[in-house]
Amino acid sequence: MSDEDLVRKIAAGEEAAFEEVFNRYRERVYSICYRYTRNYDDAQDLCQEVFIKLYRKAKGFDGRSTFFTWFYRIIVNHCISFNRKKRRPIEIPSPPPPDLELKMAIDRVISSLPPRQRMVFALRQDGYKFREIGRLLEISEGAAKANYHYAVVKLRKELKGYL
Amino acid sequence: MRKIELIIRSEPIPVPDYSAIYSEVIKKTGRKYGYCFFIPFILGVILFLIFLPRNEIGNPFLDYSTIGDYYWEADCGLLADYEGYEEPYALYLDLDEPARDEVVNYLQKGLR
Repeated sequence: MSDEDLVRKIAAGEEAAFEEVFNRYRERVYSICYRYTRNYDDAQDLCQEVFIKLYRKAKGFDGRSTFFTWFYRIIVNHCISFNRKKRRPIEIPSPPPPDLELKMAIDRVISSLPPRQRMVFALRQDGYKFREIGRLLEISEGAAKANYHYAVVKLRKELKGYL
Repeated sequence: MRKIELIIRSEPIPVPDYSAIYSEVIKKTGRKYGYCFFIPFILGVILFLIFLPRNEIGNPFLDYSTIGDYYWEADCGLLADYEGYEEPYALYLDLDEPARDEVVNYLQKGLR
């Protein structure tokens, strides 16, 4: 059954259809959420909220775009507007091992990127092409490339000491 | 930059408990039937208050021992029991109107 048919069934209240979509997309949704937040708990929360949004917005799917585009726009917009919850900081061994230190530095720099740049960077790391990223974020391919370029420049600058 | 990209891309993504996420989503999107029980309950309470069988429950503002002492010079509860009433208020209601007024006047005087 196609995604479009499934989403219409979700709109009609069929839970089996929702479960099918959940199973089809859960890894991809979680992967984007994780690459964007770079945090296990936040990614879980986001993933959950995205599927809740899908369930509630299913009636609004008019078929003008493909399910993929429609659903990924929900994911992308939700991630961008996501407010990180205050969580207890993770205990880090002192001194941190070199790999962990670099990972933490990467997390810190990525988290400090503006939401759009961060999303472009996350989607790029997840293997999406600039054309697809542009379509999902409703920006041009050039704008997607520019956002990625700025993110890379910032990462390169901030992580100079680790390279 | 290649090194950073390699690190990021090769970084293992922790696998979440998808079944927990799914059940949480279902819990939050599930229809809420709470009001289906709440509304009939409220209606039941309203109907109960409207059609309350007052005579059986009695009047909480009357002091039966005072009434009993005044009118029958006896304990009202015992008297009601003896006369075959379920409770003292029923006995009071069975008084004729002048007698009832007399009791009320007596109580009002007592309040002053």
